[in-house]
Amino acid sequence: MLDNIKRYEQGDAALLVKREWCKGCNICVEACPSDILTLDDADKIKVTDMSKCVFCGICAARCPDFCITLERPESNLISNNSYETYTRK
Amino acid sequence: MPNIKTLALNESREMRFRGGHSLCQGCGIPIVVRTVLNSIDTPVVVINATGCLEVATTRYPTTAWNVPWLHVAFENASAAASGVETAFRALIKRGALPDDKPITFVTFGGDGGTYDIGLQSLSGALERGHRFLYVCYDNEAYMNTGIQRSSATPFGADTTTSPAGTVSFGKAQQRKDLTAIAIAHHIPYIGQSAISHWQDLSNKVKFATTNMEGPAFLNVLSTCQLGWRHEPKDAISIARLAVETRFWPLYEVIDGHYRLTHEPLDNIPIENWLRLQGRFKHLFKPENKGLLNEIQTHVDKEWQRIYDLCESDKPYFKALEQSNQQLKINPSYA
Repeated sequence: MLDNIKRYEQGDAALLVKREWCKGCNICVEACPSDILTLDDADKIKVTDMSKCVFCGICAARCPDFCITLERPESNLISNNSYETYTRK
Repeated sequence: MPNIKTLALNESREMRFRGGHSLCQGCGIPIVVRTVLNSIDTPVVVINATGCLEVATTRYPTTAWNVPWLHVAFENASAAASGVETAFRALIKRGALPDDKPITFVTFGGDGGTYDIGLQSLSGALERGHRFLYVCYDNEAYMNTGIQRSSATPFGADTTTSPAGTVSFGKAQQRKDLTAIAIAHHIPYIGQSAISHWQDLSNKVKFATTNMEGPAFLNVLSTCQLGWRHEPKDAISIARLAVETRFWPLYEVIDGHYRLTHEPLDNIPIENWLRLQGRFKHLFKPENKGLLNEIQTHVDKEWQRIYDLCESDKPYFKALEQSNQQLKINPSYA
């Protein structure tokens, strides 16, 4: 588990977003310490500048609709088409 | 201890509760459920009282749950949990199930299903000492059926059955202190937490469910943007302000000993919390000035009562920490 956390901190992680579940409550936008989340015209969550993401996971822990998930890059969720995948690389 | 990254990782590893449910925009309940379920290491069985959570997550033919899940009725969630837990132990005793694979039984109920309708079955289950965790997500009214007052609704709140107008100023009674009622059952663990303090909630769940010897009860303040009438994005900050204004003290009671888990630094007036919510709008009319003072007095009195109890138990926890390493679950408690 500790290894995984270390890898997150080094940016070896992916932010998975399932926009289809988003209800546009803005809770993650308020919570994000890097201010990289915003709502688009359809009131769905959008990641603006992935290079600033610190993988803190606060968006994933706050989202009432489970739209955002932190994952390791090799996870099988990433190949799942229903998630948009954001990595720092 | 689970930190936010392990919580996030747990969520992707083991999806116990997922999105696609029809709870409202900005609802606090899924945040409670996720933090609770992701903080438990063993497999879980969830028993659900009737309420927003049950109705919105299990619309036929879909479900948001990926764990064994049981719903019977509004008033008997704890009775159902008692039966499931007893059956599990009976099967172990009979040798039908291995005794080295523990299962944690978690019951979720709203404030209506816990403070009011389910109180008798909860009290019975706590008294009989079943090994289960009861989590009450308290959003302070019957939100599912259209915002009727419950005994968890705070004094002065405007609901559909305690409407504020020319004759009435909203709910005329103070809210029931359910945590104190649970404490009166002398069970091993009782805690009070809020959605804004996820680490606090996670620690409490972890502590309550590790080596469970009896019932544990958690009263978690959730929010409801529809009933409290605030912006959905403010859900977390409003819950945090309830804690910081000392309306909702975060504390736990372990074997009858009180411990404060978060001490607000500044003395923020309760007005700041009330002002953000439409259900208290009428309290800011000039003629209702006295009510604000009354609410502040009640909050101060309740806080002082709990603070004094926690202060007097400080030496107990200090001695325990020095002698017994096991209780030192989180250094931030010290």
